[in-house]
Amino acid sequence: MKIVVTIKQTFTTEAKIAVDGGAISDKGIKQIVNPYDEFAVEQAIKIKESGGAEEVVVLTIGPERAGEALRQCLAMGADAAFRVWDDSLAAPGAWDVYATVLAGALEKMKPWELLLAGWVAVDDNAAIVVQRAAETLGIPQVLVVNKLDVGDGKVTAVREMDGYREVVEAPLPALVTADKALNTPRYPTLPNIMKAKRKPLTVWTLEDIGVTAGSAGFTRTGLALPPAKTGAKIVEGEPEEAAVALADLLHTEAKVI
Amino acid sequence: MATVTTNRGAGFLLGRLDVEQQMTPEKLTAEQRMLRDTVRKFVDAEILPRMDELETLDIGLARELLQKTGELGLCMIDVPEEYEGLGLDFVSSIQGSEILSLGGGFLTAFSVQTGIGLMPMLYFGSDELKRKFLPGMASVELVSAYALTEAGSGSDALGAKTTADLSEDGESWVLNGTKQFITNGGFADVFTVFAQVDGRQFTAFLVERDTPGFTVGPEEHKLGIKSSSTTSLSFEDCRIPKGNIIGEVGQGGKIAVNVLNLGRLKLGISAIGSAKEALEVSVRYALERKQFGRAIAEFGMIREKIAEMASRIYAGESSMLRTSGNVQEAMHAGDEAGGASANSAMRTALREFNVECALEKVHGSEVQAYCVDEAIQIHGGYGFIEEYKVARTYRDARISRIYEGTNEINRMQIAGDVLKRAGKGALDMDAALSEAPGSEISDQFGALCDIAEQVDRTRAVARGIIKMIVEQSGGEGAKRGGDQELLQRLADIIIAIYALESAMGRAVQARRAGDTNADEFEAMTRVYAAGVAPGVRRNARETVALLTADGADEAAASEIAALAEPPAVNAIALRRVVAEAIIEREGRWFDC
Amino acid sequence: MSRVLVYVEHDGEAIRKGSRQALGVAASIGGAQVEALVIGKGAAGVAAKLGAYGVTKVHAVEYDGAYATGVWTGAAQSAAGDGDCLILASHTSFARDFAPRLGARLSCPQVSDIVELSGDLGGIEVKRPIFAGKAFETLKSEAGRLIVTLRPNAFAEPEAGGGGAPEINEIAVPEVPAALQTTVIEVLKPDTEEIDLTEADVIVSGGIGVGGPEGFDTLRPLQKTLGAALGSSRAAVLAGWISPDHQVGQTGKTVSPQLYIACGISGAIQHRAGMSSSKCIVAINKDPQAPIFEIADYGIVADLFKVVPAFNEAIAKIKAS
Ligand SMILES: Cc1cc2nc3c(=O)[nH]c(=O)nc-3n(C[C@H](O)[C@H](O)[C@H](O)COP(=O)(O)OP(=O)(O)OC[C@H]3O[C@@H](n4cnc5c(N)ncnc54)[C@H](O)[C@@H]3O)c2cc1C
Ligand SMILES: Cc1cc2nc3c(=O)[nH]c(=O)nc-3n(C[C@H](O)[C@H](O)[C@H](O)COP(=O)(O)OP(=O)(O)OC[C@H]3O[C@@H](n4cnc5c(N)ncnc54)[C@H](O)[C@@H]3O)c2cc1C
Repeated sequence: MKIVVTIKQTFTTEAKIAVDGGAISDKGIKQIVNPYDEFAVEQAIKIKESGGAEEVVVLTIGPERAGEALRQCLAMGADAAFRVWDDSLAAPGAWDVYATVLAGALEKMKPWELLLAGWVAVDDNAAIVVQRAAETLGIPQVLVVNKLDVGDGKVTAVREMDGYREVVEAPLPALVTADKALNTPRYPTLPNIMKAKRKPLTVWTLEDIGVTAGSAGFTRTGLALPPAKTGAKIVEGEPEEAAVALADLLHTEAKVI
Repeated sequence: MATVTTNRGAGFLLGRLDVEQQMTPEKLTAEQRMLRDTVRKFVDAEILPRMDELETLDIGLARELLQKTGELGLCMIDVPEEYEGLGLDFVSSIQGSEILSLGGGFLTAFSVQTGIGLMPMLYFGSDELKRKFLPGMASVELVSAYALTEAGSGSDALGAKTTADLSEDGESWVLNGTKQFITNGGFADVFTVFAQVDGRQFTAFLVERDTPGFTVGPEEHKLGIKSSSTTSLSFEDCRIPKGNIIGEVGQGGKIAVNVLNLGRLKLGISAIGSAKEALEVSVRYALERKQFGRAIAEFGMIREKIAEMASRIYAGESSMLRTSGNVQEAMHAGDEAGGASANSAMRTALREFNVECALEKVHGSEVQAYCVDEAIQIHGGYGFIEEYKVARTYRDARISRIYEGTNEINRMQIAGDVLKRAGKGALDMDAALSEAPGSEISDQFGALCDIAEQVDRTRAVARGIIKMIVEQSGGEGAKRGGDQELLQRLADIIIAIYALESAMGRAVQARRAGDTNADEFEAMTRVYAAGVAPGVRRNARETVALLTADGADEAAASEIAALAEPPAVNAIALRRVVAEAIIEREGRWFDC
Repeated sequence: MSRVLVYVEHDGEAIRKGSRQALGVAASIGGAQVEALVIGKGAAGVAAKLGAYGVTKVHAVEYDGAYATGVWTGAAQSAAGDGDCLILASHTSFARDFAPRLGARLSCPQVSDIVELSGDLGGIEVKRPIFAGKAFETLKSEAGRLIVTLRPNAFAEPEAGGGGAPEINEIAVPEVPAALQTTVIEVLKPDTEEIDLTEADVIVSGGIGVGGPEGFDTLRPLQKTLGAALGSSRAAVLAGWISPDHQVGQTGKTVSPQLYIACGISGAIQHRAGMSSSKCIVAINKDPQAPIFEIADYGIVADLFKVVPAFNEAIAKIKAS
C-alpha cells in the first residue's frame, strides 16, 4: 500500500502577525509543517512501520521555501516528496485552484490507497482544498480523525463531530484528515535528517501535472489586525442583573458563547 | 589593505576580513536548521518539563536524557562513520551545544559527552581503543568524563600529582591519586584521566568505571548547574590494561590543550545560546510588567539594556560562527589529506585556532554574564525569586567564566600566543603596520565602511602594542608576558577587533544577500562598535602608559593612543533603534 | 435577483442556531429569493417552519440514517440546480464535511468560516479570521455560484414570524456509489473527563476570591454549562484549595482559550503571563482597582458569589435556545 500525505508549510503558531504592504509579512517568521499535517505524516509513518504500508509520499503546493517542510517530513520517515508550484498560485483565496492542482498531482501519483492530511491549516483556516480534491478524485473521506485503523481494504476511524464522536468506516482509497489527538509526532533524529537529504524531492510545474490553473474564486481586498484591547467594559448594575447582561454581551457582542 | 586567508589562526590581526567567505548563521544548511528544530523540540518536550527533577540531581534521569540525545544522534556528529558515528561537519556539531544551553546543567553533561569526554579518544586514541569505545560513546551507551583537575592543580593543570606506573609484569598501568570537580563523575562509564608517568611525563589514560581501585566521591553542592554531576575520583593502585593509554607517554599536555580548544569554542556557543534565552525572557517580561501605568519595556533605561544585550549577543554569535566555519574548513582540509594523517591535520587545525577558541570562550561567557545579570535586573524582585526561570539561568551562567580554563587563563592564552607568534615572526606585524587604517575601504563594506575603519584602527592599536612588547622583550614575546595586566588588556583589544569585525561582516553579507534582517544587523553592529570603543581606548592608554614608562618610544605610543580614540557617535540614538526592533520581535532571536 | 440556498441543520424538530443565523444572513441580502435545504429525519416538519424565516421553497430529503458525506453532497447538488446560486451554511461538522465536495461538483468557489458578509452574488465580500484570529482578511468574489460557510455565533439571529408556507420540493435520497460510501458504526458519547486546560475553548478560573476549597464548587456549575476547563491562580493552589494541574500563569499553564472567566483573581503579572492571549477575558472581582480589569474585555465589579450563579443561569438559558 502507498500512502500520500498532503502538507502545507505555515507560520509557527507563536508567530506575531504583521501586515506589510497589504500582505501578511513573513519577515523573521519561522515556518513549519502545518501542525495538523504533522499528525498526518506521523500516522502514515506509523502505518508503514507496523507493516501496513510500503511507501509514504508527501506532497505540497508551495514555493521553493516549502521544500524545507517536505524535507522535514522526509526526515521524519517519508520516502519521497513532491512539490508543485507556479507563481500564479501565490495569491490568497484560491482554494478552488489549489484543489484542482492537488487533484492533478494526486492523479499523476496514482496508484495509492490512502490519502492523509491535516484537518485544517492553521494559517488560512479554510479546510477546503484536500476535501475538494477528494471529490474530484472520486474517493470517500473521514474528517477530523483522532483514531485510525487501516486494513482489509478499508479505514475505520473515530471522527469528531459537533459535541460527539463517531466510529466511521470507508472503503479504500480514501481521504482521512487528522486532528491533534491522533498521535504525537516524532522529531527527526540527526541520522534521519541526513538520510532525508538523499531522498528524492521532485518539483513539478503545472504543465508537468497537466493542469491549467484557471482564475481563483476569491481575491483578497483587505487585510487587518484585530483592534487592540482598551480595558474592560464594566457591566454595571446589581450583581444579578449585571450577570445576565454580561451573559448577553458575551453572546451577542463578543460572540464567544 | 590585504584581506586575510581564513585558515590561518590569528590571521585577523594582519588584514581585513573576506566578507564573502565568513561563515554566518544565515548560511546554515537546511539540514542544520532542521537539526536545530529537533534539538529545540527535544528541549521543550523532554528537558524543560523535568527541570525540577533534574535540578535535584536525579542521576537516573540525567543519564536517560543524555541517552536520548544519543538516540537523536547528537553525540555522534564528530565521530567518523567507521566508528559508527555520523562524521558530520563541525558547524553541525555546535548546533546542539547552543540550543541545549536552555537545559542549564544538563548542557554541562552533554558538553562533556560530546566535547572533552569524547575528543581525547577521538583525536588521539589508538584504532583498537577507538573500535572498542567510540561507538558506545557516540550512541551514549557509554557516558564519558574528563579528569584533569586536582585539588592542587586547577589552572595549573599540568601540575597534576596523580601518577601512573607500569606494573612489574609490564601488562598494566597502575594509577594513584585523586581528581576533583569531575563532571559526569556520578554516572560516567569511561573516564579520560591525566596522570604523570615517571613523575613528569604527563599522559592520558582511559579508565572504566568498574575498575578495582577506582572510586567515585560524593556529589559537590554547587552554586549553579545543579543538574550536572560533579564528583571527585580516587585511584588506589588502580590497574588498567596497558593498551588503555590515549596517545603516547608524555603527550598528555598536548591532548589536554588541544581538546580544550574545541571545548572552549563550544562553551562560547552555549553561552551565547543561554544569553539569547535571557534576552527573550526579559523582553517578554518587560512587555508584560506594568509600573507607573506603563509596560516597563517603554522605559529608556530598560530599553537600553535590551539593546545592549541584543547587540552583544549578535556580535558574539557572529564571531562564533566565523570561528566555527574556519575551524571546519581547516578540519576539512585535514580530512582531505585522508588516512592516518587526517587526525594529525585535525590536531594541527585545533592548535592553529587556539587564539580564536580562547577568545570565543572569554567573549561568549562574558556576554552571557552581562545578559543574565541584566535579565535579573529587568525582572526586578521577581528575578531574585527562584521560581522564575531567570534565577536559574543566572546561577547556571556563573560557571562559564571558570571552567574549561578560567577567563584569566584564557586571556593569557590569547595575548600570550599572539605575542609568541609575533616574536617568532609568524605574524608579521611590520608588514601589516605599513598600511594605514581605513585606506582603500571601498564600498565592499557597504553602509558600514566607518565600522570597517574602526576595526582597522583597533587592529592597528593591537599591532602597535604587540610590536612594542615584542621589541621590549628583545624579540621574545614571552618575556613581557610576565606582565599579566598587559596581557589582559591586549587580549581585550584583540577580542574587540574580532567580535566587531565579525558583527560587521555578517551585516554586510546580509545586506548583499537582501536578507530581511540586514537593517537590524547593521544597527546592532553600530551599537556594539559604540560599546567596545571606550574600553579599547582605556586599555590602549593604560598599556602604552606602562610600556612608555618602561622606555618604549613615546611617538609610537601617542600614535597608538590617537588610533584608539573612539569615533564620535550618537550611541543613545543607536541603542534606541535596536531596542525598538528587538521589542517589536518580542525578543525572539534572528535564527529562523 | 439572486437565489440563496440555505442549508438548514436541525435535530428532527428544532433548527440549529447557526442555521437560523444563516437564514438571517440570507434574508438580509436585498431582494433575494431564499430557498432552504433540509436533510434528515423530520425534514418535512422542519421545512414547514421555514416560511417564518422568509424561505419560499424548501428542498427536503427524508433520511433516516446518520450523517453521510455522499448523501448530503448529492442532496445539496440537486437543490442547487444549474443556475446562479449563493449557498449558505453554518460552519458545522456537517457543512465542513460536504461543502468542499459540493464546490467540486458544482465547479464553484467556496469560502469557509466567515464572520461578515456584504454585497450580492456577482460582488460578494466576506471577512474571515486567519492565523487563529490574529488577522482578518476580506475576500471578494464575482462568481455567480458560490458556497459560503458562516462561523457560528458570528451573525445575529433573525426575528422569526409571518411568511407563508414554503413550496416543498421533495428530493429522493441520493444514491451513493459503493466506493464513496462511509458507514457510521457507532456513535460515542462525549468525553466526561476534565477538559485539558491548554486545549480548552473556555476556561473558568478561580483565585483567592473564591474563599476556600468549597468556593470552587460555586464555579463548577458554570464550568459544566460552558463545557469549560477549570483554572486557578497560584495563590489558590498554594492555599491547597485546588490541585496544581489547574494553575494558570507564569509557573503554571499558558492558555489561550476563546473565553477566559477570572473569578476572584487579582490579575498579578504572573497570572496574566499565562492567559493574556485569551481571545475574550471576563473578570469578576469586587475590587475595581484589580489589575485584571486592565486586560479584561468585560468586567463586573461585585461579589462573585452573587454574580456567578446568576451568570450561570443566564448562560444556560442562552445555550438552551
Ligand atoms: C562545576 C565544575 C565542573 C568541572 N568539571 C571539570 C571536569 O569535568 N574535568 C576537569 O578536569 N575539571 C573540571 N572542573 C575544574 C575546572 O576546570 C577548574 O575549577 C578550573 O580550571 C579552575 O581551577 P581551580 O578551581 O583550581 O582554580 P585556581 O586555578 O585555583 O584559580 C583561582 C583563581 O586564580 C586565577 N589564576 C590561576 N592561575 C592564574 C595565573 N597563572 N594567572 C592569573 N590568574 C590565575 C584563576 O583565574 C582564578 O580566578 C570543573 C569545575 C567545576 C566548578
Ligand atoms: C515566582 C512567582 C511565580 C508565580 N507564578 C504564578 C502563576 O503561575 N500563576 C498565578 O496565578 N500566580 C502566580 N504567582 C502569584 C502571583 O503573584 C499572585 O500572588 C497570585 O496570582 C494571586 O492570586 P489571586 O489573584 O488568586 O489572589 P489575590 O491577589 O489575593 O487576589 C484575590 C482577588 O480576589 C478578589 N476577591 C476577593 N473576594 C472576592 C469576592 N467574594 N468576589 C469577587 N472578588 C473577590 C480580590 O479583590 C482580589 O482582587 C507567582 C508569584 C511568584 C512570586
